[in-house]
Amino acid sequence: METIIYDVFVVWMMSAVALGVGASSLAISSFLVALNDGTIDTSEKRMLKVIYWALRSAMVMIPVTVLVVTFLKPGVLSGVTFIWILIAILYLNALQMTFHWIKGIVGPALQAASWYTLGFLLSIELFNLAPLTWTLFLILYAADIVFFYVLVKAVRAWQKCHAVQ
Amino acid sequence: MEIIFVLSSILLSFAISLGVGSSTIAIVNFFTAIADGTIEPTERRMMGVTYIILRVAMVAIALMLITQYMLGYVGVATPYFGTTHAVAMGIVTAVLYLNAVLMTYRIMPSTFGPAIQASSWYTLGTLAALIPVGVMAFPLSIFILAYTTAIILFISLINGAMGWLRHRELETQK
Repeated sequence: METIIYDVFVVWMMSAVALGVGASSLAISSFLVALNDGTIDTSEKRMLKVIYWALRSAMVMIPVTVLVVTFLKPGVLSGVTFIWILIAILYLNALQMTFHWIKGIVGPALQAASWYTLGFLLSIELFNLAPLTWTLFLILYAADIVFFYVLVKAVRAWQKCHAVQ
Repeated sequence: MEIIFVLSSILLSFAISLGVGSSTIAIVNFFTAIADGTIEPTERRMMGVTYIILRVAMVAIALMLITQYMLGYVGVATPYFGTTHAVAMGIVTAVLYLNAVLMTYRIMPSTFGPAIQASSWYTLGTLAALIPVGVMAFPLSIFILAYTTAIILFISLINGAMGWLRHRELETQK
């Protein structure tokens, strides 16, 4: 019985991360597309709300499933510390963005980078592809942050340049 | 060779995650957009972003699967390629592509197309999730039955939701 519950929660955990990775990719790209004309209108806001709803669902499901999986099989996730660090950053950054405590593009870039790192880490962890170390985690996270920051900055610069023309 | 296999496995798992998440949003966004009876140009533009991301995920999955099958052919992780899991992954990916092409050329009716696509994404996601729990050898007939059930379930769900939205729209017009 315990094995079945464990298997279900592993599948659920992976589904939650899948939803988060997909939704965060769409959140950042839809946000940039919506901002193309300088403002986010009602229809765009409605579509973005769906994505944010999906992101929130994933954010609730991940800590619950990680807790159950590690409770049922302690030590099964060797990189559980990294997973909790990323979950904490996801929550903290979401709060900062909600209350506008963080600067324009830094928040969305950090959120997308955290989701992608979580996705990569869980893939490496669950498929036993490589040993998870602090070095690997930090390199992966830093690369994701830089990638998303540069990407968002470049797209915004391009949009502003076209708006001026 | 081993490094290429590990990297392609990470990217494959990640691309499946991207596709499963995006397809969920694609369906919900479609229902949100059609709720008032028409899909406005702004909503179409926003949905276009989802379809681009889905295509990116599909291309990444195909590339990684081809890489893995080629590695399997030359002897890397050979035991896996003898399992039904590997065959099932190939079947679902082929259906994803075939259905996408048929939908693009409007050969596949809208009653079945989106449902087949969504159920294929979820089946692919479930197949990927079966690896860490160690379920890789199962009868192909069981997989075909489960996949068919998922397709039927999604056809019922999507068309049921569409029917309900149409009914609500007609009620509003009265």
